[in-house]
Amino acid sequence: MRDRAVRILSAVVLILIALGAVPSTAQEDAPSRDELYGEYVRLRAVNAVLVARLALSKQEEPYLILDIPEKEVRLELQGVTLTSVPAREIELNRLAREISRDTTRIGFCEVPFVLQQDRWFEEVPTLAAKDTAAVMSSPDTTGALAERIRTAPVLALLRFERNLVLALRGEIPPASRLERWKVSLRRFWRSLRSSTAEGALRVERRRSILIEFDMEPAQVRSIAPNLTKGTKIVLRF
Amino acid sequence: MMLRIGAACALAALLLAGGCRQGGDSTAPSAPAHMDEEALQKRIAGLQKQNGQLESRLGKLIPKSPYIVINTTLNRIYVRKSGETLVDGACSTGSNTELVSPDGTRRWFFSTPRGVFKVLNRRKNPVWAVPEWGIIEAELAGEELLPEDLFQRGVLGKYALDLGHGYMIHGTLFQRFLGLQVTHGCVRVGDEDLEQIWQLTKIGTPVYIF
Repeated sequence: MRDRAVRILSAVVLILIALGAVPSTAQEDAPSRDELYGEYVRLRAVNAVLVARLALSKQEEPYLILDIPEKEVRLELQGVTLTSVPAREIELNRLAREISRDTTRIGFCEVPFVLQQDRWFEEVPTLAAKDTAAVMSSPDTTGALAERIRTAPVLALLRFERNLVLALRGEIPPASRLERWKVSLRRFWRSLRSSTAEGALRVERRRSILIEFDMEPAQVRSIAPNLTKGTKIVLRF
Repeated sequence: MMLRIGAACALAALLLAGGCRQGGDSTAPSAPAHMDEEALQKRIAGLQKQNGQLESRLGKLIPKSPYIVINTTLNRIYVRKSGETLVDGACSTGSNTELVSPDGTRRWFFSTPRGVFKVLNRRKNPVWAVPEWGIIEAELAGEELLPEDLFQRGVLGKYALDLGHGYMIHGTLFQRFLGLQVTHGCVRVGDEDLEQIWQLTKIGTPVYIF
């Protein structure tokens, strides 16, 4: 009796699995209207980036391409890729997520965004000032200072027109769970003060379309100095 | 026992099948009513064609012959061709420091300029014509200088590529400083990389500095 029940249930399982597989095969054969629309939206987004890149390639200044599906930040100058940096993680706040999902707002990204203000947060604020003075008197011939500067945590908070804010965060990821926990706790503590990187991010998360890119500190330092007021970026959701 | 396992499997399969469909539906945007399948297919075909043309136009912007890219933050020099990196080496770029003349009337800021440049001239065994700041920095201002003080051989290495306004890509006696920001604005390269750069470039080679 039990064996029979098991056999019946196994048959039910197989039928259900088969049922789940059949519609997807059918969909692959003939794309539905929604699937066609999805492809159309994707192609329009690609088209917008290509049009913008072509227009920007005629300028003398470098520009940035933020490719969220590819998780990549690319610095270009006259159509030539200067550097391409993979993002470890990309975070979109609520407003950014809404825009990325809303296909009726596809035109939002068609025109490049212009950088209006940049803020620079160093984890060790005295490091840069001290180093400038040190470099003035004697160049960094051992490389130790350069290495400290390259690897120190950094945040470039870039405000663009149309309420878009881009955060390029450079941090060496914590090695252990305990370290991660400590970092989270420190971030929370610092976020209580708006003058800190975390505090500024907390404010921007509430009021702006915020996209946060996590990458190596050295990569932030090689990209961010090229982004001055008036620099243009192309965004692809 | 077997009955329970079977029931659990059935339930899991049911949830799995339902879950996948739901997931698929939630990610796909729903088409507006005015767009039928035929219209969408036409638009897709048009966009595919247009995107292909745009990609081709963008592709034409990338130099066909080797070009140089310099990262002044990481102090790296690259020679690339058609997306391939032919040279990837350490270099030294501008120290971003300032020199003031003893009387305080002249100032120089030593940084490597960013932007697009071209190799304007190529020189073998270049001679360095010491500029005014070189004399001040060496604390030789007011001294009686010999021609060999003003025109120095060997300090620029075996080759120099002129980029204009006194900026060059050249070799160095100070190979241990490669990878550091220690120069007066020129880009210093190690002997092996310089040899390759010399072989791969010509007058007119584009140089992208960022």
